[in-house]
Amino acid sequence: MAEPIIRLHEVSFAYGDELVLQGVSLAVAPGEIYGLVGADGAGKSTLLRIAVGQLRPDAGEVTVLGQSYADPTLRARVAYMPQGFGLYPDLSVQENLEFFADLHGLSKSATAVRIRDLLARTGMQAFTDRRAGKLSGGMMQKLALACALMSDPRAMFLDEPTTGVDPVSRRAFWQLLSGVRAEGVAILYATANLDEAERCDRVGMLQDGGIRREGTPVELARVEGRHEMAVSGPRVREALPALRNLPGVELVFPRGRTATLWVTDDTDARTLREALRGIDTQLAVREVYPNLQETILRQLALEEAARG
Amino acid sequence: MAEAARESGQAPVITATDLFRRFGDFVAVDHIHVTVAPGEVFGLLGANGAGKTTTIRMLCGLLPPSGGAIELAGVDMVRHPRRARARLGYVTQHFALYGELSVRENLEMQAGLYGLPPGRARERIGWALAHLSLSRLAGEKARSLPLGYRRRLDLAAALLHEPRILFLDEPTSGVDPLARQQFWELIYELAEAGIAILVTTHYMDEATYCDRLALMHAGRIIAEGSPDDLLARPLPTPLLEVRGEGCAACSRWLAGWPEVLEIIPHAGYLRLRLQPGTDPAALAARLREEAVRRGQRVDAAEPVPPDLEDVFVTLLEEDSAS
Repeated sequence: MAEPIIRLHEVSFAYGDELVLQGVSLAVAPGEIYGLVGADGAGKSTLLRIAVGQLRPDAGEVTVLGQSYADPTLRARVAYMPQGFGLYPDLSVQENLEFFADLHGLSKSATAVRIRDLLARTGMQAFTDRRAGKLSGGMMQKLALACALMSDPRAMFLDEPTTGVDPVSRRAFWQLLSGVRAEGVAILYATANLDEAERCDRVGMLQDGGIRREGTPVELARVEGRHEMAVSGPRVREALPALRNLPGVELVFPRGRTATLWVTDDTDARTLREALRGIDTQLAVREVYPNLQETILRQLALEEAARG
Repeated sequence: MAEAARESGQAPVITATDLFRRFGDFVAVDHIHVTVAPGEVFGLLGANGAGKTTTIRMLCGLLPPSGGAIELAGVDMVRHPRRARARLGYVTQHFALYGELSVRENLEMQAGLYGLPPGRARERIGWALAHLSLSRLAGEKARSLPLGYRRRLDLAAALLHEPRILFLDEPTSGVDPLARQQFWELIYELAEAGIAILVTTHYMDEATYCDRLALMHAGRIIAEGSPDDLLARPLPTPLLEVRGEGCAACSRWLAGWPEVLEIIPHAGYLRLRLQPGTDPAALAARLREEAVRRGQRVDAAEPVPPDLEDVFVTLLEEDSAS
């Protein structure tokens, strides 16, 4: 594997008495998207602000391209898209881009070329005069990405860029991001959306101040000895108590006319179908592919049950 | 009329007819019809700026329509807004309560705003705290609650006056999976108690939990039906699912194939959205050959039916093009 561009080593941070991060280490390679997932308040934003040099860790070390933020030029060479985008709502699209070009010290001619390129890439040519505050959520997100890309960064830090953004804009955003990844940029991507985490190359789960699990989405989605089945039918809700009591069933999550069941690996579709016949003959069973959202939901539910 | 209403023979409790709203020259909501039956979970979907929130604000009596009629539980919203509002609860996109007040104080304040008599207020607050698992947190400042619990507090506040109608505008945005699951279980319980629920969301898995959906674009409803109805629509863009260890490696060269419109990676598999007119089976065969040639492991490559996100993205693209 190529030498990582982004490196956090044993980073700790506290707000007053509240310990937010405790010895967090992670590395992101060129052309890699590292998804940082965790509940609201887990410390994702704090970690990102440390990673871009906005906050100084109490302990540990951050390097990007082998340099620390003690080097004042480094901050200008990383791209950061904060939550809420950090755009200037009263400035136009063009003016926002010019502002970021100025911030990175681009010459007038280089600015013109770069802005033209970024506008084309994000499909925003027709909106240069529109005030940023008047853009749709999806457009604002694209503008924020364009501003972040102004410095031609090798490392990017994105803090929940698609929260509250519709599926169409989200897909468009990921297409753009895939292009950025293909250029070899290292991307640290914080998100609460687990289907997005599945688009990342590697995922780290931030919980209780540390990266609790780390791996590819496939590795993290798999649960040893358990798999998931979906049971559906018009009266599935009435069957919930019976489903919860079936042998081999660990957890049941009702969703509309479907319930998803975590079951032991010896409970296959046939066993389950037979068991269901005694409950409601209209219930249909299908396998669910392992996915991150369901796996993390299971983990959170088991932890909550253990706490009582 | 809604399926649920037909089944139960009940008339809708939310009826919006020919609803219209303009802001200057901009038409935000363009003559839409919405009905929701008691006990029905109705999902309003669409891109940002499609008109969902404007619609909800009109249905809640917070924004007067430029045209059309709204009837909530038999009360005309335009003529009797106070009476109509007494029948609805509304949870907005943003936390609407007082961060410095405790959970209980927020609910007391809200009960006062609804004009509940003290005994009734105590009873309802007790119910809300217990029912939404907030009892343990009653003394905590609202600000200090995790987001999932703040959303529950919002919901508790919206339910104090026992509304027959509930409007939820992106109630689970940014909330963790367990809190989302629990929030939806509450939604179902309320629906089972006969409350009509209109909810907006950007999560497509949540859309599939609704009884009925309407997709809005540019102020209009461009598709409506149960999740199954919408999934049954034929799509012009075939879909292919590719499984196996070599998936991630495949996506690098697949991005260069002109037939592949979009690659959507998942844990252990890819979904490929193909150009209209592409033969998915033939493309799958070519894909497998190429993977073998490159020594990348692909276990399966087969055409699959669309999911709701595929359907919505396609419908929105078609509507934008027309």
